[in-house]
Amino acid sequence: MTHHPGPAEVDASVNEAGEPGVKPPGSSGFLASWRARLRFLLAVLASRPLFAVGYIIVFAVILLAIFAPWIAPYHPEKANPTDYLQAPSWRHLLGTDQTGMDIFSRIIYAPRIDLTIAIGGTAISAIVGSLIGAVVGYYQEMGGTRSLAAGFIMRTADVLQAFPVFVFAIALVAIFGQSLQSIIAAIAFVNAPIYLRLMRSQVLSIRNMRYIEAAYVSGANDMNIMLRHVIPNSMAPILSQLSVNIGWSVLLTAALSFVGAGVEAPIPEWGSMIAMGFGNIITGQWWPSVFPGIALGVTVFGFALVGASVEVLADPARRRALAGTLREKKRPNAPSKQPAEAA
Amino acid sequence: MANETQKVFDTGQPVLSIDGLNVSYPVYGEDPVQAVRDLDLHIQPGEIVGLVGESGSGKTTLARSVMGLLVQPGRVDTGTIQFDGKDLRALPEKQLRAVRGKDIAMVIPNPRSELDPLVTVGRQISNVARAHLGIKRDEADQMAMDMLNAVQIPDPDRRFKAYPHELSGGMAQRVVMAISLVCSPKFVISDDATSGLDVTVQAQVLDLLRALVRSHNTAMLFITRDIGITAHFCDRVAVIYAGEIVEIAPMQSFFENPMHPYSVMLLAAFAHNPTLRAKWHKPLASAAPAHGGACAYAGRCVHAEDHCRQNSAELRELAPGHLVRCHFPVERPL
Repeated sequence: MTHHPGPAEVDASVNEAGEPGVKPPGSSGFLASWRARLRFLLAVLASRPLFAVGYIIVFAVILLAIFAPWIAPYHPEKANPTDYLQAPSWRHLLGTDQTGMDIFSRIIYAPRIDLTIAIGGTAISAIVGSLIGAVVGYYQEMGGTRSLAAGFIMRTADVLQAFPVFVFAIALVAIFGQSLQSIIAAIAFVNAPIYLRLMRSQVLSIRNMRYIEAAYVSGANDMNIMLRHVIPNSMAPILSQLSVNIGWSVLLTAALSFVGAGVEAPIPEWGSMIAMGFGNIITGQWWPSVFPGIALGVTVFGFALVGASVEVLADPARRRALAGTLREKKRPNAPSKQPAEAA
Repeated sequence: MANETQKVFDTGQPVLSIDGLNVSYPVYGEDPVQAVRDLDLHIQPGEIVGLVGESGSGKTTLARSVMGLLVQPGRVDTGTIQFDGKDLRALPEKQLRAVRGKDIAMVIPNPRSELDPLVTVGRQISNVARAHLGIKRDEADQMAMDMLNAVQIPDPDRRFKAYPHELSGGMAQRVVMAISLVCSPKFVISDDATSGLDVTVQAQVLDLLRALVRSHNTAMLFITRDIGITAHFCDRVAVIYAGEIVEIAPMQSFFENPMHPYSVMLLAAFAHNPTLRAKWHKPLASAAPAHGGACAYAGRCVHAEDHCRQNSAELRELAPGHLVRCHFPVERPL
C-alpha cells in the first residue's frame, strides 16, 4: 500500500480539487481530479497484484527500449568472434551467441524493433478495422445500397481471414519486400479483420439500445451518434483485444523472423534471436534461444494482463464496483464487513 | 390535482395537428397490418392530451410516426402531420433533426436504458443544449445544472458528475425529463414514461412533469395504459382502439360521462366496483378487430348488436368537445 487514507478519502480528495466556495458545476464526484484518479489507480494496483505485474512488465519493457544504449553493456550488433557461444557468466550475463554477440545487450535492444512493429501494426489495424467495423455495423441494417456495401465489406473480410494468418503475412512481406514498414503493414493487414468483426458485432447490439434512439430523438445526426455514443460504448472488447493483440503481434513478428521473412539477421529482435540460436540447442548451448524466448513470453504475458485491467477500468460500473471493494478493504473493522464474513 | 379547475384552451392554431393519418406494417404474403387508421388529432399549445389504449392499439406507432421514428418496415401511408405550421412528413432530414429534441421532445420508458452508460448525467443534458442552441460548454453545463435543480434531483452538484448506473430509477427518470425539457420544447411526447416506476415515485415524477410543462406552456401527448393517471394529469383524454380514436373528450366530461363501451370497460378494469366490473369487463375476444363495414369494437363489445356488425361507426360529437365512435353510446354505465 502506498498510502493509508481514512474512510473519507475520496471526498477529501474531491474538496482539494475544486476551489473552496465557488464550485463549477460537476466538480464534485468520483474521480473528479487527476490526483484522485492517480490515487485510485495506485489503490487498484495495490489490491490487484496481477494488474500491477502487467503494468510493471510493460513499463519495464518500454523503459528498456528507450534507455537501451545506457543499460546494455555491449553493442547489440557487434560480433566478437573470439567470444562465441559463451555460457552465461559475469562477463556476459546471458552468454553470447554463435557469432559472439552479447545476448543480454541484444535482448535489451530488441523491444525497440519488436514494440515498434507490434504497437504500430496493432494500432493501425485497430483504428482502421474498428472504424470500418463501426460504420458497417451502424449502416448494415438500413437497407438498400448501404446493406449491399456492408455485405461486400464483410465478405472481403471473410476472404482475408480465410488465409492462414502466418502464410498470409509471409506472402505480404514477400510482395512488399523485407522492411520494417512492410512487416508493420502485414501485421496491420492480418489483424484488421479481427477488429472489424469485433466492432461490427458490438455496434450491432449497441445501436439497438434505447439511448441511441434517445440521441436520435434529441436531434443528433448519425456522425454524432456514432462518435459520441456508439463507438465509446463498443470500445471495451476492442481495448482488451488491443493489448492481447500487441503481445500476439510480437509473437507473429518473432515467427516471421524465425522463418527468415521478418527482421534481417544482425538487427536485435527476439524472434530472429531464437531462430539463430535454435541450431545450438542440439549441441547443448541453450542460452541463445531460451533467454529471448523468456523475454518474449514475459512481454506477451504483461500485455495480456494490461488488457484484462483495461477491460475492467474502462467500464464506469465495474470501476465503481472495484472502488467499492477497495474501500471495504481499507476498513477491515467496519461493521458492514462483519456479516459478510459470517455468511 | 384532480379538482383543479379545468383549463380551457382556445381553438386557435394547434401546435400539432394530425389529419387522416394511416400507418401500416407490411407483412410478407399478407395484407399489411394497419396500425393507425384515419386518425385526426389536434393539440393546442400548452394542452396535455392523454392517449389511452391497450397494447397493440397503435399508441406507440402514433408517437413514433410524429417523430419519424417508425420501426422498419412500418410506413406512413397517407395523412399529414403538421407541427407549428411545418409539415413534418415533407421536411428534409436535416431540418427534422433541428426540430427533434429542440421543438419536439420525446420521453421513452425505461429511463435507465435511455441514458448512455459512459457519459455523465450532466453532460448528457448539456450535450443536447449545446447541439441545438449553439452555446458554449460552460453555458450548457450551467443550463444542465439548472435543469437538474428544476427536476428536483437531490444533491445536483454530485449527480451532475454521476454515471447513469449510480442513479435510482426515479432519478434516472428525472434526468430523462431534464434532457427532453432542456431546450424548452413546444411539444413533448411521453410514451409510457413512468411504467417502470413504483407508484409513489410515479406520482412525484408526474406532478413534477406536469408543473414543468405547465410553467413553459408546453403541449404534451401523454401516452399511457393506465387510465387512472390521465384523470389527474391531462386536459383531454383520447382513447384509442385498433388504431382508431374511439372517444376523445375533455377530462372532466370523459370521467363524468364516458360514452364508448371500450372506455367504460377500461375504467371498469381499474375501478374497485365489483358490479361495474362484472357488468363491463369481458375477457379478450379471440376475433381480431374487424374493419370495414363493422364497428372495430363489435367483437368485444358487451352491447354489440347486429347493426354494429354491419355498419362501421364514425366519430360523432355528442357533447361539447366530446366525440365518440359508437352507434349506441353508453348513457349510464351502471
